[in-house]
Amino acid sequence: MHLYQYVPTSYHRIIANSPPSKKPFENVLLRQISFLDNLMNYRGRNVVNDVFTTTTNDLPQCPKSLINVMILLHNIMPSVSPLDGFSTGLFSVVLLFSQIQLILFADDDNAVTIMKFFQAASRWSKNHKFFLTSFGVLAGGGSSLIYALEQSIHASNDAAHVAKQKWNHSGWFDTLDHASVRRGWEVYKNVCAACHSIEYLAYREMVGVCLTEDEAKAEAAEQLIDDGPDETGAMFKRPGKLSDLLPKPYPNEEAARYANGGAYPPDLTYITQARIDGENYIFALLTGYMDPPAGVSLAENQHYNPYFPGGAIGMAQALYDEIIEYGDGTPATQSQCAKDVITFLKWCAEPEHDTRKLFAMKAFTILGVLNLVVWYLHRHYWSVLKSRKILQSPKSLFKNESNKSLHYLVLYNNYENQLREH
Amino acid sequence: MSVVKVFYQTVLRRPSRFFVVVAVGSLFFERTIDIGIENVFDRMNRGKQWKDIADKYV
Repeated sequence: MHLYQYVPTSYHRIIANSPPSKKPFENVLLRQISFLDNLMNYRGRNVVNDVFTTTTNDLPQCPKSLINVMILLHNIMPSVSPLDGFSTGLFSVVLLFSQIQLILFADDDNAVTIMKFFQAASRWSKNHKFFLTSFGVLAGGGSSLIYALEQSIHASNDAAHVAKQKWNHSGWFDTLDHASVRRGWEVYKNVCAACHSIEYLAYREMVGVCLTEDEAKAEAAEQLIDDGPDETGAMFKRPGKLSDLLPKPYPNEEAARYANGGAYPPDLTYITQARIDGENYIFALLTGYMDPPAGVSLAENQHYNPYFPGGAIGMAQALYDEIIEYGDGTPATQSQCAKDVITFLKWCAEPEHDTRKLFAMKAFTILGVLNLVVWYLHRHYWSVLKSRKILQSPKSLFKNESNKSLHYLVLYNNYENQLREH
Repeated sequence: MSVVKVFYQTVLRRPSRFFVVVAVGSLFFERTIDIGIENVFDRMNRGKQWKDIADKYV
C-alpha cells in the first residue's frame, strides 16, 4: 500500500475537511502525513529529505545503508505530562544531530511510514566543519581567556571591597530620581567641576531631565565658550548657548596634570560605566577618605583612600557636610552629596536609562503575549507526534549481517518481546 | 454557539477577514499596550521622574 503518493500536497485541508474515515488505519496515516508535512517544513529547515510510505512487506527494498538506528512509533492514547515540552524539544534536536536516519511509524495493521533523516553534520563539507570547529574553539578559548584575565584583575587589586548601596534606580523598572539628578548637578557644578570635565554633555541635554529650558539657558550663559574664527581669523569668547558642551576646567591633559601634581582628573561623562561596580565604587571612594594607617607613607599631594587601588590617591577629599546648600533645602550631608552627584553621573553615562527601562517593560509584556501564542502553536504542531509511543532499537542489534533478518522481524511482531528473547 | 465558535466563524475562517482583523487589531493593541504600560510605569516611579517635579521649577 503506497498511500502517501495518493495524498495531494495540501494535507491539512484534507484532514480538516474530510469526515473521519471508517478505516482507522487511513486516519492514522493521514495524521502521520500531516505530522511529516509539519516536520518537513519545521522552521524552514529541510529536516526530512525523503518520505515514503510502505508496508512491512516492502521493507527489504529500502536502502540498507540507511538503516542505522530506527525509531518505531506506535499509536497510543495522547499523554500529557509537564515534561512533554522538554522531551519534544530534546527530540527535535536529537533528530537534527544524532545518528537517527529513519523514523518508522507503524500501526497494528503492519503499515509503516518511513521518514528518512539526514545527519546534519555528515552533510557538511570539510570546510564547514573546520570553520565551525575553529569557531567553537576560538569562542570557548576567548571566553576562558577573558574570564581568566578578569579574575587576575580582582586578584591583583589591593583595594577594599566596596559596599553595595541600595540605589533607588537599580530595579528593573526603576527610573532615576530626577530631584536627586538635579541636586547632583548642583554638586558637580559647585564642587567637582573645578577639576573634572564632563566634556560630552551639552546643556540642551539637561533640559527636561534636571533643568527647565530657562534654567539651562541661564547656566549656559554664565560660561564663556571659545568660538570662532571671526572675519579677522581670530578666536573669541562668547556666552554659552544651549547647544554648547560643558566647558572643560583645563584645556588639555598636560595642563590638568600640571595643576594637580601629576594626577589626571578623569572625565566624568561615562565614569559610572568606566569603573568596576560603578556607582558603589564612586560612593565608597567619595566617602571613604581616612588618615593613612601606620606604616603607609604618602608623597606630597597624595591622600589615603582604602577604596582606591594602591591606597594613595591624588584627589583630596572633596565632599564634606554642608559643603554646598541645595536649592530644594535638602540637608547637604556628605553622603547625600555623594549619592546625588552619583545619580547625576549615572544619568550622564546612561541618558537613555529611563526610556530603556520603560521599553524593557513593554518588551517583556509583548513577548509574554507572544510566548502564549508560540506555546499554543507548539502544542498544536506536535500533538500528532506526542500521541505516539517512541521506541528505539539499539544500533548494536543490526551490526552484523546475520541480524538483518531480525531487523525486519522486529517490525512484524512485538518489539519488546523480540528484544527480551534476544 | 460558543464564543470560540463565533470567533472562528467571523474572524479566523476567511483569511481576508483575518488579515483585516490583524491589521486593525495591531493598531489598537499597540496603543493599549503603550498607554497601559506607561501608566503602570509612571505609577511605579511616582515622584521620581522629571514630569513629577517639573512644576516646582517653572
